[in-house]
Amino acid sequence: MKEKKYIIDTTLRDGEQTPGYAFSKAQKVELAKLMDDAGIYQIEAGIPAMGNYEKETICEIMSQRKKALISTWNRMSRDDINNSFECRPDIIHITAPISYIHIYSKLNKNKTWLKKTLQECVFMAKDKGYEVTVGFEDASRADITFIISMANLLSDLEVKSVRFADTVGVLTPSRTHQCIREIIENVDIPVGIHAHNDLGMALANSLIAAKAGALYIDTTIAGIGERAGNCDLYRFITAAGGVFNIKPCHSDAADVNKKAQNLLFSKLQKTEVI
Amino acid sequence: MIKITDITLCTFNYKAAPEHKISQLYSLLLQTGISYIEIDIPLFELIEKAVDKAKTVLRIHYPTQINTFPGFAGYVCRLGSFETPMNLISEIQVNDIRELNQITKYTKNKNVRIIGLDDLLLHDYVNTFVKIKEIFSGRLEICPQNRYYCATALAAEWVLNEGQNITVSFCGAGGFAALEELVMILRIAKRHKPNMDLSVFRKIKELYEELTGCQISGNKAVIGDRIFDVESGIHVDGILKKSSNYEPFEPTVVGMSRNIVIGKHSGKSAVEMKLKEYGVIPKNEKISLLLTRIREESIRLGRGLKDSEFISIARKFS
Repeated sequence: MKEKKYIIDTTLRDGEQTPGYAFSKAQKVELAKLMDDAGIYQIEAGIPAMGNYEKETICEIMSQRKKALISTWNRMSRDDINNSFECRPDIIHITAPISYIHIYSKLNKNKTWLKKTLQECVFMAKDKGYEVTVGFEDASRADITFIISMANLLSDLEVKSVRFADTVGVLTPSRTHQCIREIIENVDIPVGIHAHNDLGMALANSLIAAKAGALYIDTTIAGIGERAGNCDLYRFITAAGGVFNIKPCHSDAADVNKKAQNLLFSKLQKTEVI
Repeated sequence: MIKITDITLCTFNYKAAPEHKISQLYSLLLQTGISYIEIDIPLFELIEKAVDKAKTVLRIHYPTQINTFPGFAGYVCRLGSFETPMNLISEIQVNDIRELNQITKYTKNKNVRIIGLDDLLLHDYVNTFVKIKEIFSGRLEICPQNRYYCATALAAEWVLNEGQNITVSFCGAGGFAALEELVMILRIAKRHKPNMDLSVFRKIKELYEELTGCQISGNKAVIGDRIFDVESGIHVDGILKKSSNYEPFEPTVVGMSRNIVIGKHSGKSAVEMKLKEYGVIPKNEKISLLLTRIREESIRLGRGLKDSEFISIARKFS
């Protein structure tokens, strides 16, 4: 029997962060409907902290969804999480910089601060009855023992899952396999993969992560996202559909891919061929 | 010793292209740190003067053609034969991992290139690599194809698992692993730097687009025009503190530069940086109003703002 895997589509959050892209409320609501109809498990709908327009958009997505789970993306900030509360999503996703490069050099903080702040944020969302997931930002350049210790802490806090993010896209398949296995073998918590395509391996790394036991796979329509983009939904389904029990099926993925591209990119200059 | 063979020039129709442009592409590809470049006989006859035979592999139809075109570093021929010179590489197509059982019948071939292996990454590729190496005692090369979008990853894993010979093409042309991606992977994961200056990829990209009429996607890994564009507040802020926070390698490594785009996702740092670039001094208390206005305009236009549009708005807040 094929192993079951779940798609978390982040076109509306990480995908829209592609420089030069700005989706309207109508586009985002329509895309969420298309993905919901196609059977996508979870839709990362946006960042409420961006302001009222974004919050109204996410509320509208929530009001129209049928089956898909809707999540919002938050930094480790009380303000961000308060903004998310206004959208009443199914899942509050909190991102936590996990590499020393990010903790010390980007934020000028330390591991103690990270632990304390992350716990506070998780408690805050949990207190209101929300399902919480946590993304480990820049996990591919982090100390795996620190990741495991943080994942254990989050497991104790009943966080639903942790996301292993290859934020700068430097993972190789064998390294991906090793990292995901290490977490799964040491922590009782479901793991997701969020891959970037800087070295052309986002899809391969996502595939290998799934083979290694990752339950959730982050994708975007046409692989859009920061720099060289993320794991392409349609292509991932094409490659992985025969190996895993995963939705959407190939024809639904092709359909949502086509409709979404018409919806999102028709206004933009389309020159891409290769 | 890692030996990369590039087959870009065998993947597109060069018949209408000027000879000097093809020669130029040939020379540029050799500057990327590859060991060999593969061409076919008609192309050799077209750019003969530019060809460095010691760094060129010739694609032939029959092993007997080696005598007609002597002196190349190697020859590639579909299926080859057993009674052939040491420098003939027999090319074997394996589309599906289930076909791998069939390759044992080619064990007597001295040098082998296995082309295809599209779905290998879905299976136990590490042990398969070991088995393939045990089957062939001579020079073994793989040329992954991209039907499952994993060709580059497979090429990288082959080399990272001590495979020595690998075949790729620029931008993955023809459905193979992408040369520029493999070169960058080996640079980052293995510190393999046969060529320190990879800005040659920009020149190859421009020439390739000119010769093929294809436009390479702006977000194509390593060579896309927009891979160093950055807009989101978090990323701009992180990059301004230290570029490695959100970039896997410096733009200058591949002859590019960073471009801060102002749009829906811009934050204070990006806006202040861009204003400084244009010598516009906004009133501090009006930055958040300016950010809101930028967001509104960007949503209205359905895209990021051009610098002229941004400055025009910003002047109203200065």
